[in-house]
Amino acid sequence: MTVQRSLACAVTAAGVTGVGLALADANTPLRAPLVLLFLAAVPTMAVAGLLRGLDTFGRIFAAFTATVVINVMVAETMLAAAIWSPGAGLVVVVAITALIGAVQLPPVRRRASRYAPAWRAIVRRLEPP
Amino acid sequence: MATTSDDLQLQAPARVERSRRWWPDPWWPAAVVALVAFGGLVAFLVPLGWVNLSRMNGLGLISVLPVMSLLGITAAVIAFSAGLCLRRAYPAVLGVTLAGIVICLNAVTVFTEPEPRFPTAYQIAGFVDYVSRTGHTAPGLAAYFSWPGFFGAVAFMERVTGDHNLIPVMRLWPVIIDMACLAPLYLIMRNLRASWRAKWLAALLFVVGNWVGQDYFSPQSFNYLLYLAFIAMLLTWFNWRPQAAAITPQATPKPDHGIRSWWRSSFSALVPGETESRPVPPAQRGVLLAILLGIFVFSTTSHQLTPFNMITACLGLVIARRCRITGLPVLLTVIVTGWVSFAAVGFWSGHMSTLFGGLGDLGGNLTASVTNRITGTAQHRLVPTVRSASAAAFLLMGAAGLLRRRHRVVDDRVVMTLMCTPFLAFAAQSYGGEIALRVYLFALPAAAVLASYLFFPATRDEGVSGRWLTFLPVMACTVTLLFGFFVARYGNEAFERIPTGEVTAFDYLYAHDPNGARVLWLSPAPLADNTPEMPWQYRDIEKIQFIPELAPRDPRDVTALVLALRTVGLNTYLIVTSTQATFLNQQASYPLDWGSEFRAQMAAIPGVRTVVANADAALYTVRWPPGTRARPVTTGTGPAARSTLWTPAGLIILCLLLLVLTAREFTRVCLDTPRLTRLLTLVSLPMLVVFAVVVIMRFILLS
Repeated sequence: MTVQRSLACAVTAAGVTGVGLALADANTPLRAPLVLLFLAAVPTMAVAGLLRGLDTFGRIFAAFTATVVINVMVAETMLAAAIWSPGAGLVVVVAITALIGAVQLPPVRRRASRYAPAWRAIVRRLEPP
Repeated sequence: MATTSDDLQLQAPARVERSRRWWPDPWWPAAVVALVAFGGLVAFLVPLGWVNLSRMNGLGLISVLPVMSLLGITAAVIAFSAGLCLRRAYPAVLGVTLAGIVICLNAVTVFTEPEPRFPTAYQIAGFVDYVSRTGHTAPGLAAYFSWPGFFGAVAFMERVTGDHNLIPVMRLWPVIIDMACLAPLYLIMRNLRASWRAKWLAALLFVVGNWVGQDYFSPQSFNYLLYLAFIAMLLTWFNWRPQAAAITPQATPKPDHGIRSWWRSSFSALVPGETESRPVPPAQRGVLLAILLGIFVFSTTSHQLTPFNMITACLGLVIARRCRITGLPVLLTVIVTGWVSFAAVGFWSGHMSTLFGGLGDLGGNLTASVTNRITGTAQHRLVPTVRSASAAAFLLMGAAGLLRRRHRVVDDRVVMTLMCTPFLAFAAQSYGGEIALRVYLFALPAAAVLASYLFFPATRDEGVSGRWLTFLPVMACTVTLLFGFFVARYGNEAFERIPTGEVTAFDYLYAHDPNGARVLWLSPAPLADNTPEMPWQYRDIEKIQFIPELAPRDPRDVTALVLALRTVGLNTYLIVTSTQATFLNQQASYPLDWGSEFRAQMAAIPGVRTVVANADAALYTVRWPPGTRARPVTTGTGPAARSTLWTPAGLIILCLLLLVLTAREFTRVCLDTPRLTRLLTLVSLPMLVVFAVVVIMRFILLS
């Protein structure tokens, strides 16, 4: 396990602890920094995994921007749709992050690449050379 | 014509080669620069603890800053300028110095003022508090609630972290935003063909030119950051050049005739001022496009002006053929039109004339922006003058830099576009007389880059000889702009700061408002003025109604105000703050001791009760006979979104149209299928027409 990977795991574990504290509405000084760590860092790491073709700075920048967008759009959607519930919003952010992480898992990637030729054929039929 | 940039590029390595010596680069010049910069920053920060804010005059904060601090920050800026003239770049030295300068310039009030600055920041905190408490918005209460994205986001964070104190956030917000702006700026500049000297200078110019003060805790500050991120991502990954194959500038264009020849010599035959977009696999381009759209959608829901700036910038880039997502402006326009038409009804329904009266009145909007801000005492009038001069200097330097690069056969169409497109906002509306400041703010990044080209026009890191020749002009320019920054940015600080006593007075109000309250505040022009200089509305926005009253020019003439206190009814207070009195003096030429005389007079009136009185604020009410009943406080109605028969149909059309247009842009970006893109375009055209009709019908029926 590389240093980077163990760091990512540590950050995720700390963040998930923060989410647990927030959902349990725990009144500890650790809650705010840990939950902010989750909201800032964990989606960033997940999106960065999707953007392997970018250079390091661009990748971090784009992934962090995506994180900001995910957080604020969850809040905005709750507000606009009149379903305001910060706890549920936090769960949704966790779910989106998990989903982004899940599509990068090897089995999912393998399955996706199995269907790739079929997709390419469809596109080719639409667009004859 | 001068030597082509291409020639320069070919010569550059040779020149570096020639000037390379057998002894290594000396380390001490960089060390001296770092030492002077560090010493300067420390010298700026250390004496700030002894600043006496009450002695501030019409020039604002600069009048009370210690000489040591001013010398220190000057030394840091000079050191940075010297760092630009070293043999090679020392990113660590320049970066730390730049970050230090950002902290000194934007966090100076953190170290000198007891409370976070700026009245509107408190008002925004009040909106956040409302959303956090109730979980919904109230467009009838304030126009801000038609764009609630930012309030919702902060309220979400507030609730999730369990921390309900926004004061530390408000205090650090400006410096965090200004620091964060440097990241997208770096990403933007990475795509430019320019030397490291020009890029670092552009960053410094951006920092000292960013005096508009729109970085306080507010939706627009966050949206400005999003705007920069949007532009940076467009330029980095969706820049597009059809002639990307090779740079083959023709120093002497082919002898064509007429417009064609002019066009060729103007644009086609030049070295592009920016690099090609970075290669990204198609699927990842899709992810990037999704992020771009996310930025835009949030911006649409949280601020009125920024989305229009994003659209015009994007359209400008498409027209300049530097944006490969050619249909993006259409998609963005549909998104923002949909929001304004369906979600922000409460904002435009009923007051169309005030909103769009300024449409097309370009001269009028410009004059309103510039002249209305030039009033008050002679000393304070210097502040808007410095602001205008600084903005003009930036734009002129930008234009000159553009010409200098053009002389070197470089085509900076991207930066030029980004500098020019914000000016389109002048044609739209006056934005409460503030549009000139906003235009300058959005043109600033590009203007700073072009201004830096005036000093360092090279397209790449070239030879090192003669680099000290530019030191004096760069230093003179940056130091002048630095002092301009202090006057322009903190020139209103005497009344924009928030003394502790004012917060105490409002805390009293909020502790005594279970049945609602009305607060009269004093303004030189009650009809036009809508922001009191005090920490207002930061809690219970639905309970307390703020009513502007004309401040009597003679402080002894308070009968009208006492009468107003009586007519408005029980639970009515009159507030007078020291900063409001300073505002009256500096902006509207009221007597200097107006505040103290007014307070003495109010306290002496029989029947008037002084509820709170401290050095910074006083709160008065009148005595009522027991048993008097209060009139209910009406701060505004609740959600007032009216709908028509068209609403559901229009929403369906909007959703379908968004679906088709989004699919079209993703197809364009991810799949190389022009036929499919064309098909989607054909499908979208009739829907666009229907959508336009629906929007126009809504405007006619609901306004």
